[in-house]
Amino acid sequence: MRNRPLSSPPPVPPATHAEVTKFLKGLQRFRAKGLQPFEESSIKKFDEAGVKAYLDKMTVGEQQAISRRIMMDILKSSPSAGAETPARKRKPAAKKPAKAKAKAKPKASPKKKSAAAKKRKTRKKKAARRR
Amino acid sequence: MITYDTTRESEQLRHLKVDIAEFIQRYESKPPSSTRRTLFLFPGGMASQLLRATTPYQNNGTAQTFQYDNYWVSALTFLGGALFLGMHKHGGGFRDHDDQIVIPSGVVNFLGLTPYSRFSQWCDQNDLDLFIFSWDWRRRPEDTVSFFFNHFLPLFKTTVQQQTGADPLQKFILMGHSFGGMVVKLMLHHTDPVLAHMTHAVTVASPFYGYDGQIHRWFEGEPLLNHIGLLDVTLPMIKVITSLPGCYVLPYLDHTTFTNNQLALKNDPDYPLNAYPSKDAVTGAAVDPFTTHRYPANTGFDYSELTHALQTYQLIASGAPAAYAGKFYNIRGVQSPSGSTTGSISWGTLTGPVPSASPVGNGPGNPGDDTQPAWSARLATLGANQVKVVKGNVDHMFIMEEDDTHAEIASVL
Repeated sequence: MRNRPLSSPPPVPPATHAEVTKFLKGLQRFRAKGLQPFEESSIKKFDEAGVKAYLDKMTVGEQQAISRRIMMDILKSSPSAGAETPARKRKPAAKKPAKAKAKAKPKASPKKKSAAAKKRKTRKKKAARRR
Repeated sequence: MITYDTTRESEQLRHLKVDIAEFIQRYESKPPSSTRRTLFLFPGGMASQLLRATTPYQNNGTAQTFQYDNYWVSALTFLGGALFLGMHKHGGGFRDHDDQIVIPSGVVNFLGLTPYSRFSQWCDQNDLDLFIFSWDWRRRPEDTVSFFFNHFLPLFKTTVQQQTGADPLQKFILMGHSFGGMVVKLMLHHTDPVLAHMTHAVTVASPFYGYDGQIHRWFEGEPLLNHIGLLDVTLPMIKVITSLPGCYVLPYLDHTTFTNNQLALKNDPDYPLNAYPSKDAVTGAAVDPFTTHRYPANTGFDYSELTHALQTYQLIASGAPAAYAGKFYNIRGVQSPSGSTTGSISWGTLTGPVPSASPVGNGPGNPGDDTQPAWSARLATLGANQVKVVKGNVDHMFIMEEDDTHAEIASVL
């Protein structure tokens, strides 16, 4: 059949392993306090509002880059999964569209953004100034 | 008679009815035409979202419906939820952990990203009526095949016909990504008259001869899920993975299959397999992952399931039935620069109970899509003109999103 290619952009490039590790560490701060890992009722009592606020601090592009790396790595053989790989060159991530902010305040949240996220933010600011 | 299995099936169908309604909506939004084709996409292993019932099944013979939580993939997955996706044998089949039914529903959508968004757009743009059939990759693949033909397709056909007047199975395509392609191949061995209406069966990045990742997981768990904060849950994670019957068809090919296909695998002009990919680290002797007894003793590894899986696997790796051989196509991905993908393993000595140092080491990098070696991603008995390659900046999980993949799919349909 004749191919009618898409004009939409390809999926966002993946984050680095280090960014994913940092993301997961941050995410896991919201697990239930006094977690009993083998009690299902216990693990489901995580801080949902905290998770939402944590995610809302990221741009859509940052979230999807993390998601892509996780999905890519979860299928691979493990030895390479822990190794650092450079992220592919990425365009500045699009700012997340207006979305309802978390209603409840998080019980805990990571205090600092990753160095990579800071760099991206700076790059975006510079690009905006140029425009 | 209402059983755990029939309840799980009826729950899956209940969710599929929503997908069918959405399909009908899309179907009716386009003008009727005799050239329209339905494309059933089977997502890759781990790419179907899994929902787990919030309450257990009650074994009292009554009809039951459940509320569900998303255990795969959501934030909960990384906060301990993955530890509750295990299965256990019950009677002649398998049940979910604590008898809380797990069903597939949709594709994974973590933080707003799915591996099939652009593919869905592409199908829409190219007049292919797409239905993504999510399936439970934890279960035996033959269960999915049986459910698809015996339960889903009759419901799908009747519902679409009643509401649109058109037969959505008049011409249809089966397509599978990764593990989903192995399910598609298995379907070709199912004797169902509906297959006479299948125009093409296409696999994308499907490991017909296995890959190393599954073998690693039986020893090492899943690195992204082995810890919850500072808590090390590697052993429980390995036990969960080991309990999933579906994964037992995924290791490298058995030695008999290798022997039967050795010449064809070696004669692949672009991506040959020159030697058996699973060897002893010291002697270099072949270690058949389907018959070896070198798996850990403290994880519940099920050798009888491995024996069962071998039969299923050998059917998947066998030649396509004559009636469908001309309709079967394989697309494989090769990253540039080449050599990014593990293409062989060596087995050292397991020095103690896992999780200790893994005895499984990787061989040198091979051409592939970063997960599946290129030599594994096509059926060796298939004609060269039915095997396509997507090269460049591709990766296994998102290969269906790439323009080059779409172009290759178009070239075979």
